Amino acid sequence: MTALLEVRALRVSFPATAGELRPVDGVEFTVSRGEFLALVGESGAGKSLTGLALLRLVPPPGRIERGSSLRLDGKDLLTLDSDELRRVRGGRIAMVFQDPGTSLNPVLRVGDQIVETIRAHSAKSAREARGRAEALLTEVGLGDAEGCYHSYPHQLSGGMRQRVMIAIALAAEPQLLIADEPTSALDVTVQAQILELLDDLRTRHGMAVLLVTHDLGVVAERADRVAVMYAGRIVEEAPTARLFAAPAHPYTAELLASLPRLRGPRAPLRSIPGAMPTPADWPTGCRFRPRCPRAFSPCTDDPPITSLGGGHQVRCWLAAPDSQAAP
Amino acid sequence: MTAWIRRRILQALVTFLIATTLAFFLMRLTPGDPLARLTEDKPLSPAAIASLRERFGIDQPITTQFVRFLSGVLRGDLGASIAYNGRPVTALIRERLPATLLLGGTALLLNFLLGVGIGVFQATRPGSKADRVLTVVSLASYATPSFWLGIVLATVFATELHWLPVAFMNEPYLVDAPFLERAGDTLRHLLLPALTLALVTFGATARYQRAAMAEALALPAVRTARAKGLPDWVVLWRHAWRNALGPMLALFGLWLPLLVTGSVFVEAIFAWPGLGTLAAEAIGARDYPVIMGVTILVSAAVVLGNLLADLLHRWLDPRLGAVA
Amino acid sequence: MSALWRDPAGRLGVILFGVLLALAALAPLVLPDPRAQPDITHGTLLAPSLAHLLGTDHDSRDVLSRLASGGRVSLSIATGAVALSITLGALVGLVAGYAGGRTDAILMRLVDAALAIPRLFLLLLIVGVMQRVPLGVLIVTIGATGWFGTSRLVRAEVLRLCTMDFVRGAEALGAPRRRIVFRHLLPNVAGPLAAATTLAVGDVVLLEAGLSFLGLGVQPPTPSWGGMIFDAKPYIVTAPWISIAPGVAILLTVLSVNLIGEALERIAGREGLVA
Repeated sequence: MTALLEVRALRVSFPATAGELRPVDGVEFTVSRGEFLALVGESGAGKSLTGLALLRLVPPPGRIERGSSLRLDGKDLLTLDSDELRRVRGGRIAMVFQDPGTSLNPVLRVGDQIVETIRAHSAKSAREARGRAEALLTEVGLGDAEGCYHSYPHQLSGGMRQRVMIAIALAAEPQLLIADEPTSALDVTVQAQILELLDDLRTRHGMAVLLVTHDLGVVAERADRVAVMYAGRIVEEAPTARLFAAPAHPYTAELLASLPRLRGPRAPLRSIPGAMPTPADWPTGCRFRPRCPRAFSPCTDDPPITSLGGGHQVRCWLAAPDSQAAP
Repeated sequence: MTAWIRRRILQALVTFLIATTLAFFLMRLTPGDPLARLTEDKPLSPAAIASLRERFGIDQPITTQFVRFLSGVLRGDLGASIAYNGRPVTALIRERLPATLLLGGTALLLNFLLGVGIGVFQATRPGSKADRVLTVVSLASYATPSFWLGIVLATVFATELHWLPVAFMNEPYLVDAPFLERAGDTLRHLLLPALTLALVTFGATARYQRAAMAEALALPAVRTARAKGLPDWVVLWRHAWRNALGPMLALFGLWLPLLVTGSVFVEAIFAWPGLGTLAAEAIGARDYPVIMGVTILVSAAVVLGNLLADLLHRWLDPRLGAVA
Repeated sequence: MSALWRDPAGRLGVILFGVLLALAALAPLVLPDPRAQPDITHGTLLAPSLAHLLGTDHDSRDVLSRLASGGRVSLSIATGAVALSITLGALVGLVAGYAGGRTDAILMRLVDAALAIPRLFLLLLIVGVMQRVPLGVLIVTIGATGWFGTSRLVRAEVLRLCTMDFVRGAEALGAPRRRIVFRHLLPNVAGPLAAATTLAVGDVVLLEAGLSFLGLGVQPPTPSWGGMIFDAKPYIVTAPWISIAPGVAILLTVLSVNLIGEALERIAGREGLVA
């Protein structure tokens, strides 16, 4: 699969009273065409900001630091002028946000919000755009497309609203869809439907999906690859099956171990002691060190990224070839 | 929904009635003789005074006067002018009202354009130098006395530069001129007073707009609009500004009294034949029925304005279950 | 207070107001007496010069010192009237907000009705009838017509505070109502009230100037800014400075006071509660 989006050395910083905070600190990953990549991490790990950064939507006073590299099909996203950026937004990369209740404009009808996206990116007439909008509404699973078209967001249920957001995102036929916690605000039953919808659309349109989520369980079934984020950095990246079967980073391992299981012997739920540090209190060296059950002497330095083959990479001293790691 | 409308209208009516009562008793109970002006220049015989008092109904006990007055108001009869020799106040008001509406309406439009433009501009670059300067400008607008600004502008543009006429609404020699020419002439006369009024009221609008817009720009819905790749002006006006309109409606309650108060001075300065000059003249002539009549009208306008603002607010926000 | 200084707009307001205040207060010591008429035939309508910084008016009085005296008059009227309206407004607001029920409903109905009449007209109904009122009556009248908005503000604050735990706690402990009002509610209302006070001062200055301009406010020969503008009308082309000076004075005074008031509003919004 060819690379669609390449992210290198992404850093997002915010000014703070005592210097700068960097919630996204050196994130690197690649999304290939048509691939389903999941970006997983706890709240506060920086994954939402990463998603926003891809569209240069970091809210001020935050900013993307120099030295970061974002390339879409080889083109540098950070040097685009405003017109080109406008075309990329929605037209090449689209985003679906977490809470459809507040992310849709309450004073405009749903249909209008889809149509304006279509017409901003193509030369369709009003009638053509409307036809396409209704087709999109049907495609995302909204039965009464015409009814929905004329509705206001508050007249629809949460699940329907999220489908509308997806329809809006699809309107200009993007190559990459970023979904930022698209199901966190929804019921569990609706969650599964939305994820299935995203996957379907992906296969049908050949579109890549970057799913940002805190829920590992959601990821297992659908994602091709998973990247685990901790304290502003990606600590492990691997094809899904491989990650679940043989996690290389202690954090990933602990995350998987703490998932409740239906089968197997009954045991108290495992959790990771302590809490993820905020950008203001990041420890030096490996950021997971204070909570890591397998920390040892080299961990006081920043761990290198080691490739374990088969698309599996990990940022940990335990995997580094020449460290004295206890097996 | 209609039950709410009915209740709200009833509430407005009650407020208006209480206000009218308040105004009546305030005026009547204040020490001072309503007929003083008439008796000032030439002393009248007690008989003449008595007949005058009877004519204007001041000889009755105050409660009777009040009942008469209130029933008159509800019928649309605001009494008779003392200075204009018994002409009904309503007729006087009707004569002058269109001029004031024209002036007020134009001033409101200018105020809106200026205030919204500046407020939105400030909200798009908060904390910048332009933002801070404009804040001070807005406050200065509010701090400027309308009568002073009127005098200054009239002197500069009319008396000195002769660009615009100094006073009145039309040049009398154009009475028989074709409509367009007269309209153009009125417009030329309208410019300075309307500008004066707008310049002293736009500050409040700008401040409100800036605040409402700053809130709207931070909405997640606006972030979505940006993410869709919509042009900047669409994001700004169709998405952000539409959501900023709600809080702006509270301005109606602010504008109307400001405009009305300002008109009294501005009209007087520019000899604009409206309610403001009527009121100013009535003050000088101690024509209490006229002062009262204008006050009642103005209060009605304020109450109506607030009512409209509430109704509009309901209508604009589809979430509140209005007839969208 | 220090917070006010740190706020850039507030600082500007304080400086400006301080300068104006100093001018008004110190003027009589430095400048010629406005009421003295030294040179009636030769001294009228002189342009600004070193002897008369702002020139002289039609009665050959020094404009700057008249301005300063007028300032003293305007500011004393404003402080007096505002003191009255703030006190009334706070009282009514506290009572309405805390007592609630019928009392609240009746009071607020009256306030709504009073607010329907623009303040200028309210004053016209009183002062216009009485004509040529003494200064004290003027102050009381202006003060008595200005408390309605404040009462609404205070009531809203009180209602908000009453839902908070520290008030409920005090009630549960059996604190007498007076104590709750003065010890708990009032200190927390002080912030927004201070902001409203300064803004009210600006409003009164404008209002009084307008009344004086109409001949209903401060009566001659007492100088007042509004009156000065009125007197200067016939001479506006020949001696513009007589009209410009008082107008600018009003502008700067109200501007400085509003800058302070807005800064206070911002500060009040940021601070926590006094329990």
